[in-house]
Amino acid sequence: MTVNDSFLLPDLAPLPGDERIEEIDALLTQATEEGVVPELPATEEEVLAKPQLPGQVLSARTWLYLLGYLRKRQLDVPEIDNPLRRAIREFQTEAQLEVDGWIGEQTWSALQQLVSFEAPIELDRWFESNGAPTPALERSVKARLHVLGFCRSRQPRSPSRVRRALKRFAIIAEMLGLAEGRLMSAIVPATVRVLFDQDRILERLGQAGNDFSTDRRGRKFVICVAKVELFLHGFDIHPDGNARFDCPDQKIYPTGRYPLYHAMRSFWQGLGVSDSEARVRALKVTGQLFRELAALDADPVATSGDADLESLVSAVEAADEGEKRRIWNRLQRLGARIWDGMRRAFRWMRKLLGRGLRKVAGRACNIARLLGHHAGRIAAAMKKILAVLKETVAFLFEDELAGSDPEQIVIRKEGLDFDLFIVAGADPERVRSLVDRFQEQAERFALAVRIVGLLVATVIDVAKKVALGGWLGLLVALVKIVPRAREMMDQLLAAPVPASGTVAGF
Amino acid sequence: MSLKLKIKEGLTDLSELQVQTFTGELSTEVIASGDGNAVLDWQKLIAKARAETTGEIELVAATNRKFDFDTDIFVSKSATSEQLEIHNNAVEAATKARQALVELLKDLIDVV
Repeated sequence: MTVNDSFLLPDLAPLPGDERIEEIDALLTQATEEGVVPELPATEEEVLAKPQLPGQVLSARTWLYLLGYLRKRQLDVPEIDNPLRRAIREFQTEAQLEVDGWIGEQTWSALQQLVSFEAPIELDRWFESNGAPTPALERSVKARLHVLGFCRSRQPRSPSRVRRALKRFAIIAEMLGLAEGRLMSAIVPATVRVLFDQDRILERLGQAGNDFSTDRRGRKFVICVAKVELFLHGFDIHPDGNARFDCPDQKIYPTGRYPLYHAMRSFWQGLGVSDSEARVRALKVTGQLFRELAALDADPVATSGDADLESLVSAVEAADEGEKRRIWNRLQRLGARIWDGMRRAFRWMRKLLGRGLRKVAGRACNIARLLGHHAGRIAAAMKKILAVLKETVAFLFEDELAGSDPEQIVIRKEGLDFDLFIVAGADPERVRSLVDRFQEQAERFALAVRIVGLLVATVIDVAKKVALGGWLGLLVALVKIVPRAREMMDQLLAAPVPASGTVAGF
Repeated sequence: MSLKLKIKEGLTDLSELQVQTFTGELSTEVIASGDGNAVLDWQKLIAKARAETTGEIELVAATNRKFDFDTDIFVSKSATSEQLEIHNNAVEAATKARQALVELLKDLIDVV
């Protein structure tokens, strides 16, 4: 990703209000183009105009690689090159999507369902009418079996290997009580449903106790699930399907090795366990680990409330230079982790922030994930709000309001005065309709101005803070306005958009 | 046209707001433009309403609202309740738009 690290937020303070809005609009556009805020392209024209969308491309590369459509991930190639385009097309064909070679909403959603651990899978969508799985689902099942330690290869070619892997999974599922009776060792809805229910797998492992974690039949599975869960919680580990678990036998060892040990140790420390105890607990994957992870996942608060967003902002603003740099570095490398495991990341960070813990591995990663995730969504909302602002300005500041009809009613503007002319005998409904539209647009204009004004003021405020003046500052500003602007944004974006330029119904 | 120019074009005075509602027959006031679209000649229309001689064009209501919300209102005796409601809704919309514009163009927001 070629993000300009020396970028500084523009100084909006001395500008008049209307110029501030144009600067904010340009800033959000630049942030999207440079991949600072993750965003899906809405149209093919956007993709062609902005070929570099690093966040989505990196995630797509990882996911398509896992599914076997790409031989190499090539995470140093942030744009859509020919091999990736071919992979996308192949996936779209096998997933029964429109084959256009770019990653729009449909393709993205399909990929998420098949590869991510938290997004629910719509089973009906992935089975043919005759009950056969789509080729894309077959690949997804293989990838999931690999990640959970049931087969070595990411995409085993031999059907018998897949059946054996499914059989091993069925045995584990029965031991854990994930399903009633033994699941079929085939890619059928019942088996896929259980295989893809990561939340339920974690819950049952949490209840199973240490006996299960030490049972040799479940050992590989247990280690691989631990990797998945710790990855989703933001630790520096990847669900690679490798069930080997090495532990250091000395106090001093290279930090790049023993990722599972380090991740578990950091997790225990994050829960308040002493360092010496954490080191001991990290030597084994036990039922206790899953109990704690499951307890976190059982937190009834599923989404970030305003108080949590404020905590997130405070955590970034209070961070020292080193941590800000770590957060920023993580933001640029997030890839798929910004779209998976967000629920777990949020709950884990809630715990860490609530305990005021600052030096826990994975903290910078999760702050970056949550910041990027929320800022991305808010940036997308802000762009819509800016579009509303432009639309309402166009409506309100024309000499004659759009929808005026010299045979019914005409509303004209002069300066900021308005004249209405109601033709004698005009249809009352049509008259009322234009005036209603006038009121709606004025209301939308007022809301949009207030929301954008809040963002401008927040950017000005954040830019004053040393070392938060760059892109990190913009992300913080975007998240910071939510508690104050949420209701207005919901109201503005939820309202049905009147047909532009016409009175409703005519 | 940029947002900035669109807002500032023709904007003269934010200190007060005037909304006038007229009614009548338009046949003599409509002028066909070169591209075939009918347009109103507002100057003639308003002059006719003020002249009050033919009764073809009538001023139904007029509201003049100052920045401090001091308001002068004129309502014609022959105004129907429906026309008055339309007028008042338009005043409300215009007031909202003006307030938003003031907020936009002036440094009023203090959220720090």
